[in-house]
Order: sequence, then structure tokens, then C-alpha cells
Amino acid sequence: MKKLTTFLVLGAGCLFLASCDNEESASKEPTVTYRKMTDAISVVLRSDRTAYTKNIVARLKKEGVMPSEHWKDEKQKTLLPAQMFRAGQEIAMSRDPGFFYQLKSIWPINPKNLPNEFEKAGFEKVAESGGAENFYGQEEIDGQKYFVAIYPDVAVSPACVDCHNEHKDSPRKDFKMDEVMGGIVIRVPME
Amino acid sequence: MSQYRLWIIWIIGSIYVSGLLSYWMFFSEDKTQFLPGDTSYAHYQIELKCSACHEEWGEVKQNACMDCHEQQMENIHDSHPKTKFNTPSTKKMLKKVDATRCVSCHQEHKPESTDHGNVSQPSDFCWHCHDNIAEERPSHEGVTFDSCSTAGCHNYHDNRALYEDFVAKHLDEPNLKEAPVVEAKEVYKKIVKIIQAPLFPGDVAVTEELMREWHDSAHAAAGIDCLQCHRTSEKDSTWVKKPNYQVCMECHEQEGQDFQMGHHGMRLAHELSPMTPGMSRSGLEFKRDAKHKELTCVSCHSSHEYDVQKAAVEACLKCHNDSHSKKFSQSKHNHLWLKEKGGTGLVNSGVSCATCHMPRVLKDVRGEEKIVVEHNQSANLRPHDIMVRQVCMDCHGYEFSLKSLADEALIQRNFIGQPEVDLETFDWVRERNK
Repeated sequence: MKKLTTFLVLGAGCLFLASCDNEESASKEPTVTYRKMTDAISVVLRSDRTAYTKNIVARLKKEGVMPSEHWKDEKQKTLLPAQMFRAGQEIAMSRDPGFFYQLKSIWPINPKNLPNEFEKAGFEKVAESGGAENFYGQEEIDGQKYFVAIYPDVAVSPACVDCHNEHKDSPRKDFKMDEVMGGIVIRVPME
Repeated sequence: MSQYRLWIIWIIGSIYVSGLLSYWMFFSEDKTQFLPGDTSYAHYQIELKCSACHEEWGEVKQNACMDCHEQQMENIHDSHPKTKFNTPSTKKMLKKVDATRCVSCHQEHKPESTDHGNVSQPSDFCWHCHDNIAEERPSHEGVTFDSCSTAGCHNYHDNRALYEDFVAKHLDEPNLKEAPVVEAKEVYKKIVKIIQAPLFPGDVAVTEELMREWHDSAHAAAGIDCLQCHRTSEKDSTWVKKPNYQVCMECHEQEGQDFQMGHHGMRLAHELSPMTPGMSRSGLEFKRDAKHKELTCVSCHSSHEYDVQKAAVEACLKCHNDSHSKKFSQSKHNHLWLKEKGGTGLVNSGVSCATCHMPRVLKDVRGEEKIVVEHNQSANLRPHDIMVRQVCMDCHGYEFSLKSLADEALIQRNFIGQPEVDLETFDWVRERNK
């Protein structure tokens, strides 16, 4: 009996030490803040779209292939940069990456891309800063708390401005270059 | 009777019933006893092949719908793909109707709650997400939500012929276009050789008529002799009297696959006996003597003649006996068809049953894009506007076509007369595009 008790105590001790070691090694992993994570994601998202616009769309235009809202339905057409963004989002979301993102605007062509009340306040702050500042906050949806970051989406080419100003469903038709047209909303579920 | 005896009877009875149910469940093809209710017009042909949609113990397979319909959804540019509802902000919408699951709207075995188009949601279901549509589109003020998809304006999945820019692009087209013809189909391969004498074993009886039919066919021209189809396999030349559809698919793979996606051939895809008009629950009328005719490749193409003109009209009318089919002979479409067949009409100007129901479409065939005949005759039937864009608009103006297919009485008359249905869509689009 004595031997058994000694064995159990030693075993429990070993387990305790092992668990301490695991916790210690886990704590050595560098941690990334929500803000740092969303900042990094936003850089990648915007860079990919810029690369598509500058390298692919520009090249295709020279070949006679124009970007069009109805690119799937018309010959010799390719995706608008915003649709490229959306297409990537659909693939990313189908792989359950642990965060969500969307392109939204206070003046969207598709009303389904309007921000919700919480996001709207963020969009207004971003617009007030002229696109110089991002917005960060926390929002609860259906009992799940999210870290929400909004990054300004600025008109970088005349094509963006012209398309929105001329589209019959656009609620705003006086966009100018370098103006904030919308934003990228990134939402990370908080532990 | 003693309690002991009752127990014996009870146990024997239970074993008998369990055995019977197990036999039906695992060994018998007839699983009618387990059907919880009739399936919809889309799936009744395969309702006894439970494994097509269900796991062994009953639950619906994870990918049951998309296993068959994924490519279709891709082709039609689905307006409401699952990926549209992939953010936390759409959760609220999904609580009303879970649009990420096909069965939220398309329940099976519930005929009492399944409406036209196999939809098991109330007809005003669009309201759940588009309740503020009148704010976005003032023209929609006062329009009832049960008319979204019934007034020829919107479909939930396929809007290729209905989106506003498409409508605007095709406004004010003439009812009949200049030089109306449909697309020419492309052949797969060039003729490889001409053979004069087919090969077949000496003990096989071959009539002169059969020989003539084969000799005049594209098969003879392409060097396909008797054994190519009647052999057991590439390595075994044992004569097979009646080769099945899989032999045709050795060369006509695309056509065979398409055929198996449609109402005519879907039973074959699930290893069931071929469909017959007698099995139909479509509500269509069929000729009395056609009730037991089996639908495989040779039902329409015949065994040796392969006359595609016969397959395009006569084959259909061997079975179909509804008003639309019966009126075909008096229609302008048939008049054009006879002119083309007689050599006095333009090539591809004739309109047969197949012109509309098995149209010529662009497909990727073995890595090459070709215009081929769509052998899934159900693919453009519902909603009607799929056919409008795919076929009617080759010859007719958009507005005339859409109105014609919205006029059920005109369809029944096989388009003898003019459409008498008005669609407000055109006025609204004109107004917005002034």
C-alpha cells in the first residue's frame, strides 16, 4: 500500500511538472494582438487588389478585355477590382480562416453592402479623418464578441470614381480621387 | 392460451417482421415501404434509390444535392450562392431562412408543402431579406412579395435572362430577327475511314434493312462497324445482341452524362431500370402504347439508323401526347422545320422539338469547347426564361420571347398566335434607363 501511494504521488508530480512545462513553452510563443492581426490582413487584402488592378486589369485592357460587372455573362470581360476582392473573400471564407472580412460603404451600389449601426459609426470616423485613420472597436453579435477593424478604401484610380459616379444604383455620384469611398471591415471572434 | 404461448408467438412474429424489414432495407430494390411521402417531380424517378440522397441509416448525405447540382449552379451563375451568407452580419438573415442549406427551401417527401419549382417555402419568402425593397426601388412600392418569382421578374438562383442590364440591352428588339437561325452544332471527329463491309460473326442474322440503315449512318462513315458496339469488351469479341447505353457512352460520353442528368435518363445514373412514360408523374399525357417504352439512347436514335432528324421530332411524338406536342404539326416552327428538311429552308432555320428542348450549347468536351446538343432535356425547362435566353433569342426579340413563355395558353397551343401576357418589367426598366 505504501509503495502504491508513493507511486501515485510520484506520477501526479510528473504530470504536474509536464503540464507546467507545456504551459511555459506555450507562453513562449509570440502573441499577436487583434489589432496587429487585422492590420496585417488588411495590408495583404489591399495589396492583392492593387496588384490585380495595376498588373492584370491594365494588361487585359490592352488586349481588349475590359472589366465589367457582368464579366461572367459577357465575352472578353474580366472582374471589377471590387468583384476580385469579393471572389477572394468567398474562397477564403469557405476555408474557415478564423476571421471575417467584407468591403462595405456608406454609399454602396448594392444596398446589402451597407454597414450595420456599429460599423456605420466607425465608417463615419474613418471618413472624418479623410482616410488617415483606421477604426477599431468591439461588437457583440448573437452572443459572440468580435474585434472589429475598419480600414479606409480610398479612390486610387479614375476607374473607381467614374464607375461609382456613373452607376445608376450608386447613392452618391460626386466621388473624387483620393476620397474615402468605403472601407474594409475585418472582424475577429474574440476568445 | 397460456402466457408462455403468447410470448412464443410474440417473439416469432417480431423475428418475422424484423427479417422482412431488414430484407427490404438491405437486399430488395423495392423500398416503397420506407418512403415517408412522395418525392417532388424532380426526384420521383429515383425515390426508391434511397442511397442517392441518404446515408445507410437515413440521414441526408452531407453533399446530397450538390453531388448532382453543383455544376448546374456554377453554370447558371447562381444569384444566391452559399458563399453570399458567410459573415456574422448575415446570421440574422439565416435565422429566418437558412439559405446555406438546399433543404431549407427544397424539402423532399413533403408533397403537401411543396409548391411549383419544388419550393417548400411560402411564395413570399423573399420578404425575409428584401422587406425594404420599396425604399431601394420605388417602382416596387405596393408590389406583393408572392409575385417576385411568379410575375416573370426574378428567380432565386438563375437570373441570367432577367437582370436589369440584360433586359435594358435587349429592349425594343423586333419580334422576329433578320435571318433567324440557331447555332450550328460541331462534330467531334473528322471521318476516319469509309468501310464497305461490316464485320460480324457468321451465325449472327443480319437483315438487308439493318445493313442499309447502318451503311447510311454516320457510324459507317466514321468506320464504326458492328463489332465496335456488339462486342463484350475491347479484349473480348464475344457478340452482344443488345449493347446498352454504356457502349454508346464509350464515344458519346458527354451526351450520355447529360442524358443521365435529365428526367429521361436520371434512373440510369442511379443504376435503376430505364424510365418509361408509364412511370411519369409529370402530369403530361403520353400515348397509350408508349407507356412501357424504355428510355435509353436507342429509344430516340434507334439501334442502327441514328437519324438525328427523326430523333428531333418523331422520337418525341412517339410518346408525348399533350396539347403542346399535339399542336406542333400545325405550328410555324414545324413549317420551318419541314422547309429545312425539304431543302427549301435555310440551314438551321427549322425548329424541331429538340431545337428548344435539347438546344445546341457551348460545352467543354474533353478539354475543347464545342457547340453540342444538350442531351439533358430538362435543363432549360424551369424556369422558362432559361430557354428564352438559350434558344428563343436566337430568332426572336427578348420581350416577345419572355412574354410568349409567360403565356401558358400560348405554350399549350405550341405558339400558334401572339402572346397575350403583359410583363411590367419592361416598363420599369424603360423608366429607369430613360
